[in-house]
Amino acid sequence: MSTFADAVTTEEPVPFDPFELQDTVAGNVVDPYPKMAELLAESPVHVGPVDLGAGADPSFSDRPPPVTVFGFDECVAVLKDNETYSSTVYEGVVGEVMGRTILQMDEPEHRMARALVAPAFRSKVLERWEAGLVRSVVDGLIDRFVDRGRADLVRDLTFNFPVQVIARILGLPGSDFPRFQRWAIEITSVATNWERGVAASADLRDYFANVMAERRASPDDDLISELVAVEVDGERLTDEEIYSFLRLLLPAGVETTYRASGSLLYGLLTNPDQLQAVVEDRELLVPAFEEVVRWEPPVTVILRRATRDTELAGVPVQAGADVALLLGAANRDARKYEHPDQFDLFRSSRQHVGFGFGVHVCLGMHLARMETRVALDTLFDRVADLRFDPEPGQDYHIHGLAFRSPLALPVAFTAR
Amino acid sequence: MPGPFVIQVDRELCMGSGNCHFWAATTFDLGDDGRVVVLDPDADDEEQLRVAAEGCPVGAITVTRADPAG
Repeated sequence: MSTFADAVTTEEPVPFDPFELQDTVAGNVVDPYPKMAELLAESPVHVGPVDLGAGADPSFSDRPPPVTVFGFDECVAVLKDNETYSSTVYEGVVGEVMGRTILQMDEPEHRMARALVAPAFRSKVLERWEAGLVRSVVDGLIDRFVDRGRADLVRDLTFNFPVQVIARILGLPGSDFPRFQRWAIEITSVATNWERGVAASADLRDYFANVMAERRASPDDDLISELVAVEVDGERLTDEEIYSFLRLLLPAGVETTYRASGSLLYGLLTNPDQLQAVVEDRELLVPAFEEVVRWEPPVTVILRRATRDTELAGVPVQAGADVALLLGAANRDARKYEHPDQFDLFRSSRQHVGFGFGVHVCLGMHLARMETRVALDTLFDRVADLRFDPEPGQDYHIHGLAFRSPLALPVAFTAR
Repeated sequence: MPGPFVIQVDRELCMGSGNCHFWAATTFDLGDDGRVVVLDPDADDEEQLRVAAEGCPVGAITVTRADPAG
């Protein structure tokens, strides 16, 4: 029997301090969107430092001036032109902590490397995790608070389910979850504590080395067994590539889903008519999730580096310039969206760049969609009359600059 | 008898995101090589086809109305 199905609800979640994952480098930014809209209205592309509320980055005089892209069409143009705009910009900090991954590769290497891991993330392949895995993880978490009639859905649900889902998809034994979640927090918050993040990266390497040896000896129905066996056109993944990919899954696959599911609940709880509609028609969870990835993408900015002198929206871009793509600003481009600042799951356009675009588009988007849909579907099956229940005098909002999500979601409800 | 839409896919450009299958599952799928295949060009409605084409991250899908005279 596969390991992931064992002992679904027995492990205590790691005590949660939401500030551990806050974007302290970027400061305490509540809402960067008005400033982004202002700068976008001036020009969809800016050259030189921009200040979005956390202070402008110091510019380095020996480097070409950085470029910031606010417009939707301009972000799409950059992401589609992966020859002019290279992903090797991620070789630095990210590459050092995670190891060499598809995130930092250009074509044609990227396509070959991605093809090795992509089959495991197809929507049809992921269906097998829905009922037995995701739903049981979420049910186990809901069991802990459902009788109270109140909860903080960040602390009690959204922070915990994505890491448990990934741990089970990797086939890790339940007894390893607490330390796996600890490593996930440490590697994800490497920007605020470098040494701790690098240590977690090394610990994860040792940990995965043991798990991979076990799976080679006795393969199971899990992602690590799949990765050690995969072969496309005679190409296989090296052990080092697998460690790096698995490490990348923590920030890329855990933190993003934690943030997006929290922001989706925030969007629904603060728009009770839309919450009501989704509770009554669960099919609407599909457009609702897509809308939150537009309205509040968990990662609001990604980077590229110009490989040659070029021009974007008439603005000169120098070879070697870092190009910051403000996905959050692009997703609210008033030239493309009506009432762009409103969460509206019924809007007609589904197009957004919240998962990125081009050949590097989020590999895990189908997993994120499925996990969040099943998590909320399960929640709505277990509780009725779900409503926002803020403490008097407290202000709740989606928070952050580069990474955004609510810090708390106090709710009241009736157990079904 | 041709259906109301002509669907063109560029399999060289396709990078197998699976977004088309997500939005229009009876029209698009990924083949064994991980690239798009068109199953049934008339299976999904216009809205689904539009979303699938717009959502292709590499712009490998175009959907046009068939010319009734053609």
